Amino acid sequence: MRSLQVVQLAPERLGLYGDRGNAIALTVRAQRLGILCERHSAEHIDGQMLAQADILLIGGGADEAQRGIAQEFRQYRRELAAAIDDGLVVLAICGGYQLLGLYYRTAGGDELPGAGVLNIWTQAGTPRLVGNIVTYARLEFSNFPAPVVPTETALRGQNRVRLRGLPGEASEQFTGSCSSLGEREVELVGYENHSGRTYLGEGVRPLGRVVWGFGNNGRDRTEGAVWRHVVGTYLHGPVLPKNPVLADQLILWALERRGESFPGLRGDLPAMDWENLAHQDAVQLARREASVLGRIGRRLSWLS
Amino acid sequence: MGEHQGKRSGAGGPVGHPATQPMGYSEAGRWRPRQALRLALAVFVAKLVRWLTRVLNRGHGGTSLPGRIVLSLAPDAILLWMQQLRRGVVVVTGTNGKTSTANLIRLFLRRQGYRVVANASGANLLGGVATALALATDPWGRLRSADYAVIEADERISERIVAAAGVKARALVVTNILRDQLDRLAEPELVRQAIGRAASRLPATARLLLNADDPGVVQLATSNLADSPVSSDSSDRRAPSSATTVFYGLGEVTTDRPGATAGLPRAEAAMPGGEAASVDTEVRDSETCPACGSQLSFALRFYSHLGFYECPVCGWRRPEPAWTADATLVRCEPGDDPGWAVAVHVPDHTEPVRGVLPGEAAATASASLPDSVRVKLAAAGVHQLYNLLAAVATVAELTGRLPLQAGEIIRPQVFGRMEKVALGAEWGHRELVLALTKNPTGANQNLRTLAGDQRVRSVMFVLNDLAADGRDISWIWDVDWSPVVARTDWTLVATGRRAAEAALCWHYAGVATERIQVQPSLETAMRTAVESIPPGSRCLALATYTGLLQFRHLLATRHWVSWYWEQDDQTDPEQDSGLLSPLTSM
Repeated sequence: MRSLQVVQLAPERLGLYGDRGNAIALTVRAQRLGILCERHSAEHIDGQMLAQADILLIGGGADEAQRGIAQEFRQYRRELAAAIDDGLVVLAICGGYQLLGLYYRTAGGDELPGAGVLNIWTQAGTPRLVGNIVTYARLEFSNFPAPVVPTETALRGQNRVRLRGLPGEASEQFTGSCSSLGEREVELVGYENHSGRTYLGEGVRPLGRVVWGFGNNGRDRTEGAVWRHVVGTYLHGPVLPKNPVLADQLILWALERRGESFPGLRGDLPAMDWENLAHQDAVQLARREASVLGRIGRRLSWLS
Repeated sequence: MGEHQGKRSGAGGPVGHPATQPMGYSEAGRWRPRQALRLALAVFVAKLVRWLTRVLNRGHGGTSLPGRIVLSLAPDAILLWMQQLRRGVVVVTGTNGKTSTANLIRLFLRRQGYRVVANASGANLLGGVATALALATDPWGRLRSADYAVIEADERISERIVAAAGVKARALVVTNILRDQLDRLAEPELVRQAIGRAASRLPATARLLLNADDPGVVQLATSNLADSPVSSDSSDRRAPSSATTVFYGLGEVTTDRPGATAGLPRAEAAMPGGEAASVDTEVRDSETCPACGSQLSFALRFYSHLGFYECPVCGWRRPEPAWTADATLVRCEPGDDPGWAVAVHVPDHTEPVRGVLPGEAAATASASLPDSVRVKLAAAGVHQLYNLLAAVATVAELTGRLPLQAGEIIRPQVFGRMEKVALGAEWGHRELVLALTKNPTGANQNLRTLAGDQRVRSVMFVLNDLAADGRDISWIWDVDWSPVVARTDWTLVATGRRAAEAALCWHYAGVATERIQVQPSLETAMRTAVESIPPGSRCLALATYTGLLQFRHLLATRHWVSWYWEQDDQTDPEQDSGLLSPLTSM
């Protein structure tokens, strides 16, 4: 059996927020499942790398670095889209998430085109959305209706008008009470720090609904995006070590794509003590920050 | 209490006019009575608060609360005080090494007979700066007895401090620009822009001291970029600084073991403990050429992205530093911990910074300097060399005199920066090494420095996520924990608000579960970390900023260390009378 190939894209340019931890988490979780896993880093995106990778990790970086990467993404858009069609597993965090979308509109109104493989778009905004965040996410997306593939015309932006504005479908999906965990939902926790407001277009589902925090845009209570086996999210901190269930999901997809299945995997490998503890700590913090007392407390924290 | 309110005081503190040179009363040449009365009142309140926090033993000694009170009562206090200084202001900024560098500068200036005020305990936001200055004033709230103020300034407030100093600004020292506290500072690029704005406010009489080994810092010398494509489309254009730029950088750095440098890039061989940095595990920023955007190639790396670099495409390269130092890893005295034998090379054209006061220039300009001077530095880690070199260069550029004596041993002992604390007999004469750890580069340096120390037998990590620490703790995942994994004889204890995440990070890095303990209480954690190791051995205590303050509090109540406010108070005898007993002197 070939070992699982985890590729981190340009860790020096796109690894500003400890996203290296995601690659480590995938290795550790895979090992616990008895699967061999190899970690690589690729400085540039190219066809050979895409052909070899099982899981591609794209982190966030400084604006300057992201601009350079966006260029490469556009150059290899066809190969990237083909690999995603084929079921390549991608985890894109923060800046990487925005880069996969159609465009990023700056405060000045310029549109910086992204890779265009994910039907999402991002608008710069103020203030920066910063803090601990908790979302309830539905994993096991294979049970959902088949996602609508963004068409070539949509990607070229010919029907931008239709794409702009608030996404009706996406927000409908996740209305309702936030207080309890729904069916097939899992709790995800992370730290968000972004000024971009991301909106989802047709066919793309949010990864989760925001319980405490801001999420994609601070308005429609959605967080992240999922299309095929591509997961985009603003959760870093990094996200996978504290949320091993999401790491397991990515591994599961990668194995499915290769036609391998592990019956034991669906039974949910229990999280380790430290994983649980770290997860719970972060959830507590997010809850405390979001509470009325927490907000007052933060204002008065200088008195302590 | 530290700088809990960092964001707000950094953003909203009204110090100086952003656009014009602050004039204060020095231009008018006289003391305005209303202003004076308000300032005196503010200082009285501040000293009262300071006295109260000490008597009640609350709030970590009030290193910034008194200053915030002063600033709320007299918003222009920092500006007024700086204009009252006899000689001027030295501002130290950058990511790592600010406190150590500022402390050395303070020490060197004192040695030369100057009276210096400084925010020595590391409270480096506006509140901390105002506190340090307020407590050094006379009962009327005037700061007339001090020659220099050495201000360690957080990157975000460096512009305000330089603007407040106005013509009194004598030097701005930039140590390095690394990844740190991303939730507040966003990205290294934004930090560089903030420091760039500070540099552009320096008067022509000042010096801008830049670390030549850090490509990100070198970009601050705007003249280098005058005709580059990147700077022309940069959204943040600024006028080039009128100050004289002085570069400092390391030269030959070697260990004393023969053959240690063979086959390895010199910088990696220079790491004490011999743990060569593996290339793909270390975090690095500022790796792209500022002129053309391509990847820089490094002939030599000291750590992170600090080294000898060159752009393979356009040829942009490290400037030749005026101040440079060669160093060899040695033991300063038998039985000592590893330190450095340093040869500091002095540029032949050093001109002291001209004073703005009449007659001052003539008094200092006549000294002649030796070509180089050899000293020993009782501190391991390449970063300590930068601190020393920056401090020596700054003081020599300011005063025209070299602050070093040939052959002396310099023992920097700074609050929580690799500070060794001897625990009492009750604890079996074990030793704690306190190390402030707030970003991956600093953590890597601390771990590498002590990985080869056979006396170290346990590590504890106080990981907090309060505002002063940076609320985002993702940086711990960028730390190269391999020294901790390799030393299987070390016990690891995690504590603080995010202890579990630290434990998880260690576990994922490959540390066996049995070696990791999580203790919510700091005191229990310390007991665990210290009592599990043999008497006479050492415990490395890594701590974020508020963790360090808590630690200090714990140690000071047991009289193992002095209260850290006493660090701020180590001013000259002339000032101490007015400083230690604020109430009686009013």
